[in-house]
Amino acid sequence: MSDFSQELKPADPQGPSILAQERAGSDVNIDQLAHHLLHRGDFLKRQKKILSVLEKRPYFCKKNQLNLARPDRYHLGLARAKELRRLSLQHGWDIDDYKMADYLTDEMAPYALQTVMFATSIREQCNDEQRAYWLPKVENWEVIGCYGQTELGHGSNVKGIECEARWNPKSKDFTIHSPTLTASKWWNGALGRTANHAIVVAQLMLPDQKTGKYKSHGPHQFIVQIRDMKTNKPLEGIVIGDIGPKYGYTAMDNGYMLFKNLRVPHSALLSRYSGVDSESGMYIKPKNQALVYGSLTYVRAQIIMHARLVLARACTVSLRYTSIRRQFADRDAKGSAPEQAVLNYPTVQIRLLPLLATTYALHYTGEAMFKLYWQTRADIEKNGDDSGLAEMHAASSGLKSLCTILAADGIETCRRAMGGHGFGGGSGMIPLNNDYLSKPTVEGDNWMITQQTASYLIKRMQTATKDQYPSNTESIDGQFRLFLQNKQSSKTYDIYNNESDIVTAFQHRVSFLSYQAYEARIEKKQPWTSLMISLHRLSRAFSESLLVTNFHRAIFESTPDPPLDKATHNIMKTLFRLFALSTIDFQSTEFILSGALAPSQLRDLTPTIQQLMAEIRPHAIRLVDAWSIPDYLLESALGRHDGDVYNALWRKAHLENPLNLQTFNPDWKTEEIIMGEGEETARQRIEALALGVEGHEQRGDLWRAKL
Amino acid sequence: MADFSDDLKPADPQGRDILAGERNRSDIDVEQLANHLFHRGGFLKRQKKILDVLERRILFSKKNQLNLARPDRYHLALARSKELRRLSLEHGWDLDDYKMAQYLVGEVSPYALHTVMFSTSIREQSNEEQLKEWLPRVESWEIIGCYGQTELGHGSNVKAVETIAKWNADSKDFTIHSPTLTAAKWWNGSLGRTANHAIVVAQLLLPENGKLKSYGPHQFVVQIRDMKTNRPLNGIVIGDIGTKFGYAGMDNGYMLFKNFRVPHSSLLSKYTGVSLDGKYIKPQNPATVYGSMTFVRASIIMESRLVLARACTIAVRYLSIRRQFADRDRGGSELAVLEYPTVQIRILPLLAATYALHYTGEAMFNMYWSTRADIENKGDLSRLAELHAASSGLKACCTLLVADGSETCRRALGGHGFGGGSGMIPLNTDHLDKPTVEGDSWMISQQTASYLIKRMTAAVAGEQVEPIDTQFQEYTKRRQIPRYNLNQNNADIVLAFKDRVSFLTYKAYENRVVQKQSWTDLMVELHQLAIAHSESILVENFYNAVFSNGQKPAVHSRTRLVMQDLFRLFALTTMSSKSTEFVLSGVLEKSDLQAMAPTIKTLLTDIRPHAVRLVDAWSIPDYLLDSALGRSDGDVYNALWQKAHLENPLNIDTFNPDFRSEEIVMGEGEDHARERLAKLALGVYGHEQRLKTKL
Repeated sequence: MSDFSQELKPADPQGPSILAQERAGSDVNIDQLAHHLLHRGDFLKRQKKILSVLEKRPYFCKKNQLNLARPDRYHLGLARAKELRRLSLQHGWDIDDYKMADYLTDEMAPYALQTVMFATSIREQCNDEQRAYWLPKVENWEVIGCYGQTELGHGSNVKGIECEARWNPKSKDFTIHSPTLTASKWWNGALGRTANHAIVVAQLMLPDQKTGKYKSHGPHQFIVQIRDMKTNKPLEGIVIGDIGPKYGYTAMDNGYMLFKNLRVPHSALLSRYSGVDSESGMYIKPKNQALVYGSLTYVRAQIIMHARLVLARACTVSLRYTSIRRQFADRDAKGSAPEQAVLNYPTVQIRLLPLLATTYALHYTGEAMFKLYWQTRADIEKNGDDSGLAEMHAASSGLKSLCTILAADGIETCRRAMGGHGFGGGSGMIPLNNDYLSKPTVEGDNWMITQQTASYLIKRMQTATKDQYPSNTESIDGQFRLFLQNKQSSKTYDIYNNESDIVTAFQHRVSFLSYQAYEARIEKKQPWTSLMISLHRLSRAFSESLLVTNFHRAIFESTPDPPLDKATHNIMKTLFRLFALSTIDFQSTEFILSGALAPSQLRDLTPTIQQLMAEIRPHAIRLVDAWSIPDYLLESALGRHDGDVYNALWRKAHLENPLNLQTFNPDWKTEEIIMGEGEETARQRIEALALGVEGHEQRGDLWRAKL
Repeated sequence: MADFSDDLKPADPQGRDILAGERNRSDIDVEQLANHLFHRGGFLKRQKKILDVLERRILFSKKNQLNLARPDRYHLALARSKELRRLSLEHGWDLDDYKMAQYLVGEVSPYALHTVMFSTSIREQSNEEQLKEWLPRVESWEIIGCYGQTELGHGSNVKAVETIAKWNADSKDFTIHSPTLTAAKWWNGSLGRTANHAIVVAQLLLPENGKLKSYGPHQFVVQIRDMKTNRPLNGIVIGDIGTKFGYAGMDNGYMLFKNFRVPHSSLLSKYTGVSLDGKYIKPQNPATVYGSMTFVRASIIMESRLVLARACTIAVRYLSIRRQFADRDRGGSELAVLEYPTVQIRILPLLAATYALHYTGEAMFNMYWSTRADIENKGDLSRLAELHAASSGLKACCTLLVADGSETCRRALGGHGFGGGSGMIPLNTDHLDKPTVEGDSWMISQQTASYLIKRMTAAVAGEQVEPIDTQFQEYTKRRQIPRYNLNQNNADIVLAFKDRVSFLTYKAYENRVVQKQSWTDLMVELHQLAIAHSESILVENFYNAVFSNGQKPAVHSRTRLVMQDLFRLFALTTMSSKSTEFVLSGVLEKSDLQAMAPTIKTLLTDIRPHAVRLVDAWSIPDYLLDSALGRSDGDVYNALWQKAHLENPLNIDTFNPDFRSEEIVMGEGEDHARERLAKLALGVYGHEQRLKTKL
């Protein structure tokens, strides 16, 4: 049966014709730019290949996701995770194919830890014997693993975790134990309902040889079977569960886990670098901590590359929709003018176009970080030269903090720029927002890890003050020396006419803030804690300087690689200016205080930015098209590639909404909710909804919860 | 049955002891300060009275909410709405009691439009006859109403709605019709599954010389569903628009009309109307419409202060309990997270902002009532423009502040801020719409700017009509900014904010009026101007409240000193985040910028010991917070544990993790799982009105 809505179409102009026009109005070469951005690892070909598999499978259909209760989202997440694994085997996917499938499915699934943290620990922390035993099991997915580090009481401060592993000299094994409730493992993905094995991080407690008193040697990794392989119920001495609903990551079973004197064998302690001598019970010290830092950098470079695609997604949705959406005629227009595209308003441009520029800024720095990682790694492996490690680590900490904040804030800015429809499920912004908002606080809290960057910069400045000989100006040491030599000069930079002056202005700000921090900390010996705000700002300044420097290097100092035609290359130059100048606008105080800019120079900022935006505006759609985000991933009526926004919103609301299949009883005098179900049924049903459950798998009996 | 977790307690120090210690560190009289903040309408007494009723009712238990599917959230919310109405009658609640109950339940419910937009329209837009017909039915809740203004294709630009109401000269009635799909009513609360009546805003089309002419959007009251079956009437398609960021319990709806006839009397005709011979009756005074919009916006400010206070309550309490890292120089035991300046700089200015919002909300209410009295008693409309301009800018400024602020609080909570136990999920999801509803914050700020430019034009011409004219005239005369002493002199801070407004207004005046630049090109600076004006209002009202002696009810002088610090913190952090404008306007010099960071840091240190008591004064009950992290007693970890371990439906089932099997719940079998999961993934396809027959 149909209804009269089938005969209606949206008011003109139609979305598809608007987008066609937008695309016709720009000469950006999308295919070439897409290849330029996504050439690494054959991304685009792979995306196409995996997409064609996923789109045909019912489990991977996303359209009902937002209607599901959180427990059902886990059920579906587990079913999808299993199917992905089966598809991998069936189609002979490699790890990059599998990751692509993960990216396109766009949900943190209950198997997510298996290939990442769990397998990485097994691969990197096991001695040869351990690896020979565990790796095949992990790679065949015979065991399903998770990674248990953070606890209810401790996250960032890993050294402060409470879970302990005591060495028993007699039985030559360990006892894992949670002395308090806050010692409970917490937040660990895949632990809640899925995994049967876990890497457990615990304080390694060894008895002193003389006194017999136990002493901690700090957190160490243990591999522990946690559930029965047949029943998947927790083993004796362990309490496990899922921690409950969250802001995002709905399908993931983030878990908790407590131990009561659980015995694990000597071989459970992962012993590649450190260990316990089973005869003497003596601690074997780690040789080289550096490699650990290396892989952290790799993870963070990935976070940046991910951040750029997440932000690109938000920009794709918002720029397509705001170029279609009409609102108000031009106030100065004579007579009855048509309504304007929302994106034509400078108030909308100033929110969205700098973010579009940011996606490109993130890209070039992500690229640079990957190169730095591989080069540093090669240096270490070939000639044992780990001198680049500290800088790389410092850069990666600051950049993780800055890039995830830019992306997380950017998503919400994009959402708000879409007005009312941005708040609806059809925007596609809900999973993006809910899942990504975790990023500023995970993998190193954004306000904590910046201290590592600042600490590095202070050290470099201290070195520079001692050694006045100018050296390579490329490195941070050279930059600092140059700053110290010219400290008295009052040169400001011509940020409006000279792009390399922009880069120098950003670098000058970093040098200035580093010197201030150096003075405060090293010369005046001020307490670290009292300096934290300035240290955070220093890290941010440094990271912004990296973004600007890398962007400049890729676009101005070398031929873009892979190549771009002249028109596209020119727009990249404009995007660079927009990114740099809007960043300066946002941080103007520091540019003035550092002397990089005179206050009077600020006057031209807004007009110049507005001018740059006017230049970029016609290319906005092609610039997001180049990011090649498929509709399946966008899952957005507002952001669809074809622009058919309103028909898509309508279909979703009208025909795919479970609420619209039932008729309700609105009369307050009766407790009936669904028309015809009767008061008694309604009352029982609704009370059960309100109260939920009380109980636990391991407690056997289940009560209906009471008030 | 128990398990060994029952024997464990959190590591010391216990949250309860920490909060007790925090409360001992400060001499602020919480009860007195609470009375100071909530003297209006017996708020605290009312809160206690209603809380007492709600906490005992099963339906109002919030503990399972986040586990529910969105359709079930609607079911529950409808049941709660009905129960609230029944409780109102049973306990003889007045409208304020009812609103308090809604505030405490903390969800926008399917009856929410009935008492607000629907009944307001009936009350304020009906003529005598209509009032007599409709008001009793609305007040006895015989009918349930909603308000249908925004459409799929139009929100902010109300004048462009596409739904039409055409006058039929022969039958002397109207035909309501949706000519396109984008004409569908959209977003309208309570419309989706609940309401049987709607105020429909449609273009009024009257025949003129054989053609139809639009007289702009007008309100019609229309029955939309059958009173017995609650199914849509013939010629109307209605439904719920589906999932959203927040408002899970509300059935925001859509509605299309196909040549739907409504009687002449359905056009609400207090101010305008159509005579039976099809002639338009012009409105006498559109000003009163602005008046009630202003009231809504003043209410948004008052509401927003409590939203931000809720986020601050959770953040301040949890962060003073949470320990992380020992001091890098001194070592020792781990520090409370709130001891870190990097955390203070994010949270304490927001705490100060709750107070800033409060005093401006108060001032706006006073201004609203006095303006209204002026209009009603003396027909004096002179202050309306100022009121409207202030309320538009403030709505934009305050909602942005609160939406960003609650997310800042959430992030400061670290990992646990992302969990359901934080209580931040409904807070965040339900309030993120505020910057875009009731006038998009980036659109309505233009109204404020437009007003200011007009006043500057007047000031330049030497007129002096409105209060701000004096400020502008004085500025245009001197055009020089005096050297302010922002560190020593609090009155100077207020002047600095005003000078920034004058500077930006003068620039906008020059660009628009003198140089005739296009309005669209100026929009970014106009928005900045409106925000600057609003910040100036916030700062001035805050200053007046904490430095003048007329503060009622009064607070101890010690408390007042803390409030004065809060004023400085709010003003200086605002200044520092907008430094470009202050520098360009000549208010700040480089040396002022240099001095600012240390001054702010000192203020943070001075306010820190009072933080817990300052949030306690906002008197947000645990029931409303619904937060393990923010509970008043500080027993954070036991509460998180209880919620995760024993109240989580996922922990009842055991799952099959083996990828080779399609089984999901252990023992359900592969076929069963496959069918169940495909259904979850694919959902439904269809609509109530497309089902062939209903049994």
